[in-house]
Amino acid sequence: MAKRSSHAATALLLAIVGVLMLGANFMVFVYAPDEKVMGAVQRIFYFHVPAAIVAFTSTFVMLGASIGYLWTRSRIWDCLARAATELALLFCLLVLITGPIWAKPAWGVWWTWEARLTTTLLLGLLLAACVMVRSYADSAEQGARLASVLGIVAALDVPIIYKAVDWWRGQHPVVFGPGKKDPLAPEMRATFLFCLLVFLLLYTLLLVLRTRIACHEERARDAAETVAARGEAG
Amino acid sequence: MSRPARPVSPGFLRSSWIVASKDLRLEGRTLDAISAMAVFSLIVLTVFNFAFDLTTVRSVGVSKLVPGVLWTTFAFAAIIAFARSFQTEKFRDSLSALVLSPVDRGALFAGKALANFVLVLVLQAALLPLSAIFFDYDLLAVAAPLLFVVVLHTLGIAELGTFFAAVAVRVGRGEALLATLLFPVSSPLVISAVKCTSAVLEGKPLASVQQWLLVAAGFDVLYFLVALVTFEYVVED
Amino acid sequence: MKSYAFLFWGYNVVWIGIAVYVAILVWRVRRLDGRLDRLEQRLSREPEPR
Repeated sequence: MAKRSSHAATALLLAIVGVLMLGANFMVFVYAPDEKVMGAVQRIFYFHVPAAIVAFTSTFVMLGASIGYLWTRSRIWDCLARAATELALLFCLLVLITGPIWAKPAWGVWWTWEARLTTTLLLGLLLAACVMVRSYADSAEQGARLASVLGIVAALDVPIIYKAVDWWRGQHPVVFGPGKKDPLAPEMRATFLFCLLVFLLLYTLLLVLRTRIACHEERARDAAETVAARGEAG
Repeated sequence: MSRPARPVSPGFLRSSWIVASKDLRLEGRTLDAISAMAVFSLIVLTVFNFAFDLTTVRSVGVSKLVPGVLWTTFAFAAIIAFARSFQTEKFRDSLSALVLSPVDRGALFAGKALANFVLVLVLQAALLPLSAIFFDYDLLAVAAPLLFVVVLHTLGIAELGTFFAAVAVRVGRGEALLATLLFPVSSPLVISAVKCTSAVLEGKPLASVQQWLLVAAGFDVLYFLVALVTFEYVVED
Repeated sequence: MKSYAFLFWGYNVVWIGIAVYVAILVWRVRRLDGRLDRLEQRLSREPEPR
């Protein structure tokens, strides 16, 4: 019975976030004005950038959870790290798909090796490797340990990769920059902030859900082992 | 007369040296890794020569093409050495023996990384003159700065390669994992290596790329420390 | 205008991606529920170890 009510609560929260996202869609397509230079296509920015922010936030969460796991060896940190890794990978993929969709009409090319795109691509590869390690490992504990170490190494590398590629190239449209007059009209800024808020809410909800599922799956696996052992002994 | 009750474990530097010299002595006897790396690199260089013939190289410019070719070849050949450095331990489970011995985990890592570093340097010492012949550039004129650039960047690649090889060997089907991890993580180092090599081949002084040299040096130090701290988590059972 | 096609796909990719992930989570929860039910049944059948 407890299961049913928690499922109902979860479904309700997801529905609320879904409605908020619809509201964000409305703001993006109706409320925000057309951008001067790029036209309608620029509106992809309202989803593309928040997705990127979520991806990097989740990487940060993964870093913290990995350190927490190695420090305390308590499972909850590993479950959180696993959830954060998956979500970071998901949002990375969304960024990497929406980026070229925006780039083609805006810059004329699908892809360019400039700092942000390259960093996101490499981050996605590293996150995929972390997920791979967990599934390849012999035991859950070994997978958790190795994935935590890799998570730390990968997360530390992200700012370095960004800076290195940035010094090497540079072409991304800089919308917010130091010392630049803010080119966003107030409606655009409001839309962007609202979309960012909705994305962060969605992320938090998904993170909590995924972490809980991971914890329950671990416990179910342990319980199954105990039952099997009892069956053999008894 | 008092004697120590049990043997005192050797210090960090001595342990690293013991591990490194063991690996290098083993390699010296069989020349397994070196020969595999040499043959592989030769093949890769030849393929690159089909891909970019001398006319193309001359028109694009040696300093633009050769650094990328060189570092790609080094990176892929080095993977052979890194993978082997732990695979040989896995065969007789000597990795467990090493881990059980009173050697600091960090020293174990440092020793293996040092051995791999030396192996890749030996390969590069053979490959660079060969590339000078294949691509027709004057190696002797730029030997000193080139040596510095190569040593600085190979150090970082050896550190990361050793570390990820240890991770990959712990995991069941880990061969693909080593390359998947090494190349993204070391990408700043590779970018820097190509940039610096390019500048050296153009005849520019090292000071012109000092920003990249600092990046590489910082990277080397950072990941050495990170690996030292986390290596025990990788090899523990 | 052809750029509207880009806009359309840009947004749908995000919606579809998130929807697919949520669907995967729902599937995992259902599978977990089934597993827990089966475990509970087995536990209620087995006698407690002494």
